[in-house]
Amino acid sequence: MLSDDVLDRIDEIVPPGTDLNKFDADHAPRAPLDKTLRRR
Amino acid sequence: MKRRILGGTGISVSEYAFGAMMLGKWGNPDHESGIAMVRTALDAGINFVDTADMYSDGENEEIIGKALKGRRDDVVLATKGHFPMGPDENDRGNSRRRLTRALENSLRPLDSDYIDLYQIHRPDHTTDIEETLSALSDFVRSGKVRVVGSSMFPAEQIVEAQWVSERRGLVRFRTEQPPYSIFNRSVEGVVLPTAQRYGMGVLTWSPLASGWLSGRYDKASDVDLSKGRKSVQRHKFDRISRICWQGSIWC
Repeated sequence: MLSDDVLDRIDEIVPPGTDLNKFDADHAPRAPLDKTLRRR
Repeated sequence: MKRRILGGTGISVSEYAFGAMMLGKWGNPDHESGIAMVRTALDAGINFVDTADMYSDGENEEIIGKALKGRRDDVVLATKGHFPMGPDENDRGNSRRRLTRALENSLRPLDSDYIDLYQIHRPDHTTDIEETLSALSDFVRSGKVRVVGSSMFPAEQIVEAQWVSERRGLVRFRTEQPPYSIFNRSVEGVVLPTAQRYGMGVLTWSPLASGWLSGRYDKASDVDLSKGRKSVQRHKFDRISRICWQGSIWC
């Protein structure tokens, strides 16, 4: 378990709930990325 | 090795799992070496192994099957289905037709007559979730699968699946597998709280951010940040690197 101090410093750099590495984060809604989902 | 109960299933799993994705032609093509890695992990107290039908186009499950020979019942074995495994349009997705074939095609190379945790690798917008859960329920009743889970499901689809399971008396997803590391924190917003709300266990993929946090790299200039999974902003990598070393995350 990391200390609160370390976790706070990580939060400063990478805010909670955000992604730095977009490639691994495909939770984004699909429709904006796939036009067939918008034009049915 | 500490153990945890997997998503209210009563199944005890080690805190660390062996994520097998890079065994086979996608990573290490040497089967004997891969088998040795799995057995080293088991000897160290890991009892949880996670693979998928599509890893190395099926080769991965063959390696895992060989590695677990004689030790299968000591291991909680997880695999997944969803991604295309051939050119046929029906050989992909989360339909009953597809998943029934996918399960059989996983059991064979894994050299097992059951899967402990069968996961739906991605949502499928062409298949009603009730179809998927109905097929998964039959898998469980047949004894070929113990419990089921999802992977990369957004929160609204986790909720929908839970509600459909309750309404229709079907098995429910007991686990969710999202990416999670210092570099990928988006699931903290709604996915993790939703999983917690439904008592689901969470397995995280890429906890070392595809090796970035493994200790192999200690400064951004060591790696090519320009493409694919190495798209993390350089200056943030430098700062995270310093903090993580100081925090002993990578020891």
